[in-house]
Amino acid sequence: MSQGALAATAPYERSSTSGWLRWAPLAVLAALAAIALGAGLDRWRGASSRGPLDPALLHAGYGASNFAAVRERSEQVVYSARQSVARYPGEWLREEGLARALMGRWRLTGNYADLAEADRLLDTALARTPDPAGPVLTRALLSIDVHRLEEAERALARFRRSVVPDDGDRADAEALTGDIAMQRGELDEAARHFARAAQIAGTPGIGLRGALLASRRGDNLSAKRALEALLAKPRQPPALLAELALQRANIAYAEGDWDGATSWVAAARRVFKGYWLADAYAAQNEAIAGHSSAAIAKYEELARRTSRPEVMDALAHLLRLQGQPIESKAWAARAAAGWRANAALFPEAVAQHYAEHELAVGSAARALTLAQVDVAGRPQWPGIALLGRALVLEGRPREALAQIALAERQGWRSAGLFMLKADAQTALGDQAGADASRARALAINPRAADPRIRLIWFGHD
Amino acid sequence: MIELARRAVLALLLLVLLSAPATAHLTPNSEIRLRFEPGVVRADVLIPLAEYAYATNRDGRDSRELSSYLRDHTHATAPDGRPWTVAVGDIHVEDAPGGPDIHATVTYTPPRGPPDRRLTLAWDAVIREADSHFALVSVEGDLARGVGEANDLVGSFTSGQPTLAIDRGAAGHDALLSGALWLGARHILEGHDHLLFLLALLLPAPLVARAGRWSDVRPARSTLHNLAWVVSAFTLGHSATLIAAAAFGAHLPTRPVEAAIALSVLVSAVHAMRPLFPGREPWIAFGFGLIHGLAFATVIAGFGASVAARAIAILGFNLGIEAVQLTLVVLLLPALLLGARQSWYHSARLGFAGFAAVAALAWLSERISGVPNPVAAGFAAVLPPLGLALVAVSLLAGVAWLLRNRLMVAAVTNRA
Repeated sequence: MSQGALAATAPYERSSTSGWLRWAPLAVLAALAAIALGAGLDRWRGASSRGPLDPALLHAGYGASNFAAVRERSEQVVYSARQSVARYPGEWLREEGLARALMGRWRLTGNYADLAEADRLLDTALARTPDPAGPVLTRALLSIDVHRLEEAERALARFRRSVVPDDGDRADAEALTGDIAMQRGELDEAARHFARAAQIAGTPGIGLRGALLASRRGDNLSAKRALEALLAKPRQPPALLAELALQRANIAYAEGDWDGATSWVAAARRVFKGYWLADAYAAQNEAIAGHSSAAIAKYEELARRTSRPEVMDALAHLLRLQGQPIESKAWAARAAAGWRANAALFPEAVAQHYAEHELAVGSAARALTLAQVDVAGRPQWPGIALLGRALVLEGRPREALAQIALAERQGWRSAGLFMLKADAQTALGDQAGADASRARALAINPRAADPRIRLIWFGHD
Repeated sequence: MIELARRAVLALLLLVLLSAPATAHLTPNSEIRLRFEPGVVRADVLIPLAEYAYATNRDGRDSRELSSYLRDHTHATAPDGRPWTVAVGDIHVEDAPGGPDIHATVTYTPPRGPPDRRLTLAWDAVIREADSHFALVSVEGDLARGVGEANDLVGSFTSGQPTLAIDRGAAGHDALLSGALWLGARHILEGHDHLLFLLALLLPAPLVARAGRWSDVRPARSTLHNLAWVVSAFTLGHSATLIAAAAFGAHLPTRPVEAAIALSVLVSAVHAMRPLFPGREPWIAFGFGLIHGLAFATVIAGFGASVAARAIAILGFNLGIEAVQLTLVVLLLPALLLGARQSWYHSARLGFAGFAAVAALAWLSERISGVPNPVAAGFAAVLPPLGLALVAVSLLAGVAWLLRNRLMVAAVTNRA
């Protein structure tokens, strides 16, 4: 190559390099924009085309994968919390820790003695601590659990007097306030509080509340979407995932999708083995499938394993429907003894379940008294359902209709509500009204009039 | 550390707060369907066997025990307080979708004097022992009110309401007659097979058979004569069975009777295509009328206790059937008389007869097998609008014929 040639080409090369340099950042920017656009599009497509979640694909994340391990862990937590309180007596934070440990164990065992001890601990701690400090949120939670709503409100009011509560606590307080509103049948108010809680901290517990509220208002589509969004989140603890799967099964029952409910219950049992509630759902699915003997055997095993009166009630009810009166009455008597013992400690907490027991395998007259007490404190749908049914059976269908009208005004919508309304209208000889109510029930749940719906004890609307 | 643990535990507690709500769980209820007949009230009772067992700790297989239990758990009183007589009839256990039921018939007879349509009925079977049970009460039949096979809801027996005062109003013989008339009319209007049989039999009425085919058109007077014979013979046939059934309590199982009716539709449809028994239509109408009468007899099974009441009810029921039949014949007369002279009548007759034959076959297979048939259901849905369309076409044809005749008369008059 000659010099002249070099001299001739050099300027060209310089200009070419500087051109590349000038366009390079733009090209990188364009590539980044394309990648971002693609990712966004992919995400949007994923979100918009997400079909129903397959329960078989549910995978749990970290945490104990069986009920026995959680149960054992709860014993350790209670033991440690007791040690801690014994070592540092008079410290409310440690007492609150023990109260929560006891509440956790109560949820697993159903032993109300734990709840009573937690109740005493919280009372003592709050009395000793200057306002607004103290275990206020735990107090509110326990009070809501045992349906002492005014007490819960007082605790939440004390919480709001705190100077700088953290976001998590604020979200919990909003959610608990929503729970109180829901138990009072103030669904719009509950929705507002749940939305506010979600804005502050979107925990699964708050998301689940929103889903449940939508379901109770008859918006099962939104409820399913919200629940499946929670279920689809990766690495969820097994216990939480099982709980969410059972709630999803409840919506399937409410829509008459019994096959769907069976799949969700199977998923709950797979991800969190030995969970008594999931096992109880499985027993009821056996009954729906026509395998009554298998269902009875499962319920019996569960009733013996857990000593839970609700399981005994489900068993006694199934035995009644199967024409086994002696066995039914024996289990009903055991369940009644359980409810009586629990009611001695927390009458408000037990009233609704006790009324349910009396209505199914006891006395409608006693159910009426219990349901009246429950609805006086908490005028909300499940309680109104029991009261309405008891009123119909006691020959007071007009009063039942008034209660159902109250529930409708509050915004509750379910097939069970309209079937009960139809029964009350039938008792009054109102054929047209009963037909219309039955049609509304069937629009929500095409199996609302199927005789097998009687076999759904857990998660029934 | 404590704070972190606190938050984690609280989050879990918040989650499990909402599981397994309590609710009202149902147990199956009893059903009592009442039939008000002159001089007697009959109750068709269904009690879930499991509920009876729950209430009594008995298995419910001993019919004498069941009968005695029912007599002990129901009574009726007249407005003046005098008791009605209660008799438990047939009682047996039968399978049902929700589990086996005890099926019983109970007859309540008023004492001499008080009205037979006003009573206080008391019922606490199962309810007395298990107060979460209830019994629905409806009136399934009340001839004087025109309630035939429908359910007229009364209310329910519960532990809080073990008695129901039932007043079906006064009903003389005129109400009985008009109720039965209305029932007869409704029965034939809703019984598509009866109508289709009759229509298929009427199709060849304006035609004369020759060499195994429907060929020539009858004169109008002969057609009217033929129609009158066919309709009268059918009436005579079903009336004879009705009266026999009412007088002697004759009953045949429903399924073979219904199958025979479907067969009668098929035979008359084939006859409308090709003459099978030309000139003997009235005899065939009479023969099949006997079978159709057996189906009507199931409706009039509860026409009352006294002979006079039964006679009035059967008369009313028959009049209702005849009224509908005659109205229909009159409405279709223009189409038959005028259409038979048109070239398209041949195709229309074959089409309609084919349609009736297929419907008959669908009914026949359904009634023999006992399995619901979608084709039969489809025909049941199509027949009412088709019938209305036929009547409309016939009326239009009649009006057109009248107008044409008036115009022709006017033209002849003008020319004259």
